Amino acid sequence: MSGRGLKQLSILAALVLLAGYALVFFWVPMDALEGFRQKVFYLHVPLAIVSLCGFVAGGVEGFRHLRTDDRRHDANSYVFIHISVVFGVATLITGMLWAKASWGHYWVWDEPTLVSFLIVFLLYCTYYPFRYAIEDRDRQARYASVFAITAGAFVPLNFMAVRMAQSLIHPRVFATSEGGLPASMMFTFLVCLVGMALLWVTLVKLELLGKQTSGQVSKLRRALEAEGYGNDEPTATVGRRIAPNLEAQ
Amino acid sequence: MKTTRMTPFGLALGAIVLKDLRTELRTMRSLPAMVLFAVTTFVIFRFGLDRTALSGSLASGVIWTTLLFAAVLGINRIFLPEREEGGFDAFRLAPVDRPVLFVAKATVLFLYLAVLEVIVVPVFALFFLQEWSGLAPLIVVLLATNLGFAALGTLISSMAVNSRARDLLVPLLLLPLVVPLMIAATGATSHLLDAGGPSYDKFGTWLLVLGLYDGIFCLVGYAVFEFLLED
Amino acid sequence: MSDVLPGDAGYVFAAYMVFLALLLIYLGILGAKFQRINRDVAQLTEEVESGRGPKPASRPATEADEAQETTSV
Repeated sequence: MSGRGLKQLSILAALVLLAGYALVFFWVPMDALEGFRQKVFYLHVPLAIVSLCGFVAGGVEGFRHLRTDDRRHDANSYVFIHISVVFGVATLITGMLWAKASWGHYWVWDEPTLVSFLIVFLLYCTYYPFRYAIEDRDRQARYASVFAITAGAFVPLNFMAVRMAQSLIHPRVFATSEGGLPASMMFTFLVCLVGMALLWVTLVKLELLGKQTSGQVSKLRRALEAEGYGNDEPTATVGRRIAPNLEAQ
Repeated sequence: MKTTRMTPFGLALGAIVLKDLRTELRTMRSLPAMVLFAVTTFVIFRFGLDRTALSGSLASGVIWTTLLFAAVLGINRIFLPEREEGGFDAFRLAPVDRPVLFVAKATVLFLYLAVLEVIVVPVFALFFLQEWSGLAPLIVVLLATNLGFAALGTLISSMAVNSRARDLLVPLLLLPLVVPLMIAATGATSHLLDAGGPSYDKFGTWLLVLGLYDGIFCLVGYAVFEFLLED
Repeated sequence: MSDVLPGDAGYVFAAYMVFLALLLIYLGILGAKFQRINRDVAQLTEEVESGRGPKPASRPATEADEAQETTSV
């Protein structure tokens, strides 16, 4: 995982996102029923979709880590989940603002997708204390992979169950606005979705690059100290790090 | 012709299950606490909700919340003998398939939950239900949900058992994961406990969801368990 | 129904701003992290280049220094 192509990727992500949101505000027609507030749809839903796919991808990387015992998959798994949690925060906040605009309340239990998402989000929030509670590095990575797999399997199941629990008399659900979307809206939505996905990948790569680099720095420092270089100041690793570090093996 | 020197699955499974059951009978570590907790919770609900009779979704919510938290008590302790007495090491040395421990513990947990429910559900009916005819089909829901609890609980417990904040981790990890199970269980139960008698509205669908959940987590648990056991 | 435009626009704007804010905060955190890495690399380079040769580990001095350092952290 190198930094090559990262610049191009981030520029591409920025361009696509800009294009997408320019379309949202200057080109796509206003929704007849919802009015201006429907514009949040182009922000909230791509965030949600990318976030959920990220969680499932984290599970896939967890699976690959267990299969190959290659630490890089564990690092991938951690970063995928971490970035997806951040996207999840954005999803929930934008969802709440949309709910406030639509129904007058910041939170509505009637919206199955939002509720399912909250549950998934809460689950992945437990990923951090869970990792932190396991001291041994190898075991931590292995257990985290198990968590990622279990949670990844859980995501589709959860959405299905919550949706089923919905009372069928609730008038209009956000998600149904996707079916029967006019072509211009669908196109704009897809552009925004692609942009979000590119943003996610960019942030993931950035984070992984950071981990890799700091891992190399630690390794260098230890090598130097072993040779006797270095002043007498203690190194800055106070406390336990919960995130996997990437050191060149 | 099998030349494997591994102990057959069934034999190992039976041995572990019997050992745990015998230990529980002798020491009574988990079950009495679970039962007592559940019954006391009912009393709290009676005052917290300020009701003496429950039906429908309220009854369903009370019974399942109580069973859930009582189950968490049991789940916290399911690997206690292994952890305290070096059972994990003993198991790693034994010539058995790793997943046997998972299936054994899940079976034990299932049995604990069944015993819990045999005692607690009649008490619940006594305290709160006017209409008892919904209890018979409830057994099906209980069994299906127990299986989900058992699989998921064993998996989570084994993930938490070797960590520092293990009593905290189990509820933390378990609760979000158990939500679909609870949704299906309460969904099925609320109609069974209706004041006018049981109705089977969407009963089949809920059972299907329960079955799907059970299947997925039994499979996932079985598949990943050996990675948790590695030293 | 479209007379709710002014009120709605506020929420839409807020949503996009929240997204931007989160993104910028995250990039800021990453930036700080990279800055720290750069600092560490610079420090290591300086140590190597300043020609400070391998020296015997001075245990007592190290502990005293460490005690000083940790209190200032």
